[in-house]
Amino acid sequence: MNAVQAYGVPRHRDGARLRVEANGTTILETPGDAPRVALNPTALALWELCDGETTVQEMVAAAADLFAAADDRLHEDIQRVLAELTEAGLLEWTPTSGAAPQVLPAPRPEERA
Amino acid sequence: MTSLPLRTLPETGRPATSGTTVVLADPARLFRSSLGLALGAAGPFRALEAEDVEGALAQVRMSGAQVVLAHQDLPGGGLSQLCAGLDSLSPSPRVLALAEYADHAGLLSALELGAQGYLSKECRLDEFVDAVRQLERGEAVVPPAMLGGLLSDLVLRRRQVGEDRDRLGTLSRQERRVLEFLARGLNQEGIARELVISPQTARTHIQNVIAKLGVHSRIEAVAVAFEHGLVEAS
Repeated sequence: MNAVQAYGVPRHRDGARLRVEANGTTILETPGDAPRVALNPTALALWELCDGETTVQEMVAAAADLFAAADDRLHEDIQRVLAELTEAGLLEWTPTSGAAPQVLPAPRPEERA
Repeated sequence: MTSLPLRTLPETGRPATSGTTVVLADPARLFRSSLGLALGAAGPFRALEAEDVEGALAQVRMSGAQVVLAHQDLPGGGLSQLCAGLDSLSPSPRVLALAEYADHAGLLSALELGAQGYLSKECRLDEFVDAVRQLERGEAVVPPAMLGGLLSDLVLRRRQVGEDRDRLGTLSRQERRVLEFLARGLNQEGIARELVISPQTARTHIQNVIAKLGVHSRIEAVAVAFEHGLVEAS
């Protein structure tokens, strides 16, 4: 089971900020030296769904109303986006049992591509 | 960042051809002509024009157009009437709804009526041409800036449907029968006669149904019944 599947509900990590650069690119960043992340429209839409209430399953179901591909493909794509956001230190996850939110450690610099 | 592929619509049975016929349905002649010129310059598109719903349907029937670009408030019944008319055609063309200004409610309405795409007249000509190409490939068209709001709305709607379904499950057998009779148009006295109970008891059942479904009126309760297939619309 990967890190994303181990946790229930994603939400924005405190301090995450969204801004649009002059060239129209949407950028997510957090204070400190964590890498900035550029979001395409789909990734931005998923980020906006990370409100601490919406589960990955709900995101997949909503996306299935709009997007092609089988649900398992959508699930895989959405999980990949959320995993990238988590690895960048932008998301934290609340287990569905209701326990306190846990923040996944950011990857060490040498682990980043 | 991963980019999710947009929806591919079911195969229409029509093989891809070297030219795509697009019906431009808008009451403004200059606007139609401008779009037609832009499409012609952009590729092997054939543009036909219509100023109202009847004209658009006639053009589609005559030409077998693959794409229809239609103003949301097209004279002659708007998008609702147009999509209803196109539904009867096989294969039916893909519809791109055009609004004067981008609007979330308008986007939802267009998608619910059966359009596969939505754009506002604030878009650039190249965005319009790209949208037509996306539709022709079977993809949905949603302005990127509106995608987040649309997905959020879809999540909320699915939750509401789930909650309604849960509430229907709390109705007793008698209450479900009362709801069915309400959906068939019976009033309190009629329901009492059907169930062989007093009108006062029938009224109590009706009130319980309304309370359990979390709605505010008999009409809303009936709407829930229809939405969840408890009763089929005649």
